[in-house]
Amino acid sequence: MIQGILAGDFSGISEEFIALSPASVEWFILKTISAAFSLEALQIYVCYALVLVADLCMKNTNQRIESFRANYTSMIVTAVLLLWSLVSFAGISYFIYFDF
Amino acid sequence: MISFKKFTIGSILLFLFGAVLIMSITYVIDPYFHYRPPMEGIPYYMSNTSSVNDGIARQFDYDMVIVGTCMIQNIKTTQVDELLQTRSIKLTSGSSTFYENRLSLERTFAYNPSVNFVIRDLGLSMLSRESDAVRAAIEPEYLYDDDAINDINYLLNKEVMLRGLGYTAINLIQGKDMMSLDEYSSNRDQKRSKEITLSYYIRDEETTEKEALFTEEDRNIVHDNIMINVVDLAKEHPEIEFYCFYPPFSILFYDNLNQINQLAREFEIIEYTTSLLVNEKNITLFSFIELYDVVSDLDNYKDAGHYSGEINDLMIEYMHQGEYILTEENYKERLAEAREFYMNYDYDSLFT
Repeated sequence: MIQGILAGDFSGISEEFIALSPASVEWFILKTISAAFSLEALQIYVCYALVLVADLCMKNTNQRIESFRANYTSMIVTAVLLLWSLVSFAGISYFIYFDF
Repeated sequence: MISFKKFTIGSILLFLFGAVLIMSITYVIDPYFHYRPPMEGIPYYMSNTSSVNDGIARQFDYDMVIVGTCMIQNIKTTQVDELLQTRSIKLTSGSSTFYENRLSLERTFAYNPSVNFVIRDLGLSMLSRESDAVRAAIEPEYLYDDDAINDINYLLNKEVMLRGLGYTAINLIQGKDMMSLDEYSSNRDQKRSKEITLSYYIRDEETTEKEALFTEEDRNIVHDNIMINVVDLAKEHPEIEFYCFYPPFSILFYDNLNQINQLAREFEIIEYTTSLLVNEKNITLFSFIELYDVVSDLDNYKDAGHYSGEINDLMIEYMHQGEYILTEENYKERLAEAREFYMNYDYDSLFT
């Protein structure tokens, strides 16, 4: 769709979006910009920054295996992480207010 | 340092022990009341309505159900019980469609055959939705059925741990009581004002398009939606009295329709819906769109639709007094008056 837009073909954009009034589009853009600078967005940026630092500066999996020492602490950490992964499979969905 | 064999077996055993522990705690405390009624002494915190509603319907002691969207969320069951002499529960489901409310009521009637009274809102924006329309959210079906296998989604669930058990634990530490049904899903503490309401309202530009018409297709959609989800349900349960009401959305709701030339069409929809409901013996229809002073005062709202808890109180009071009822004899005249009011309102004055 993006390729089409760049080539001047807007047929991929939904009719509902095209039908939006300028006020709605302005509202959407303002909301998007404010969301990009919100506290929630900041948390995501921090996460990305931490991941980047970890990626560049910390040992990768292969390097870690070389220095890995199986002990009771790593056993507990492994079990807790496995457990956290398991309970994260199921969640509760929340709907977005779009009508009432 | 331990051997890898010991490490692997130990990790798996610890993991299994943790999983069984979490499942046991969730099963025993049962924060969403899937297995048993609330236990004495546990200050349950009821947070997620989609998850908790079904448990309330299964386990609580009641003979009346209040069901609907956020238009009912601030209703106080204590007020309802005092005025209408009932034992009520409130099953709020934000933005829920009539179809979803019907499903919720059908489940409730199956859980509790002694229900004899229902209050449900008929949001104007929902009248012309498809008869099987659902929200853009995945419901926790595993809580709605009796399949023990899929309960694993409930017993090992991060959200249930954090919100259900976690908030209940915080309540316990803080020495609080269990959340009441008056408080459940309520947002009475949120501030309402004209300034706040207008800040959330994007006024569409006045359209140059022709007045929208209430077409035959629209009529069929409304017909199916109302007949299947409201009228047929009432017919299937003649022993139950249904109090339905049109909620008092703010004047901004009507301004929006006016700006896009759909206001007359909306009143056609309301009138047609009303004609389908007023002949039913066990349906009483309240027209709170006629609360003109309430609707016009934006200090009662926090956005175009959501009114304060005091308005919920007022509506229950009017239900008790039997006011604002639409009947076969009066509905045409009353809705014509309402149409006249909203069609001739000076909407521009709201923004000066």
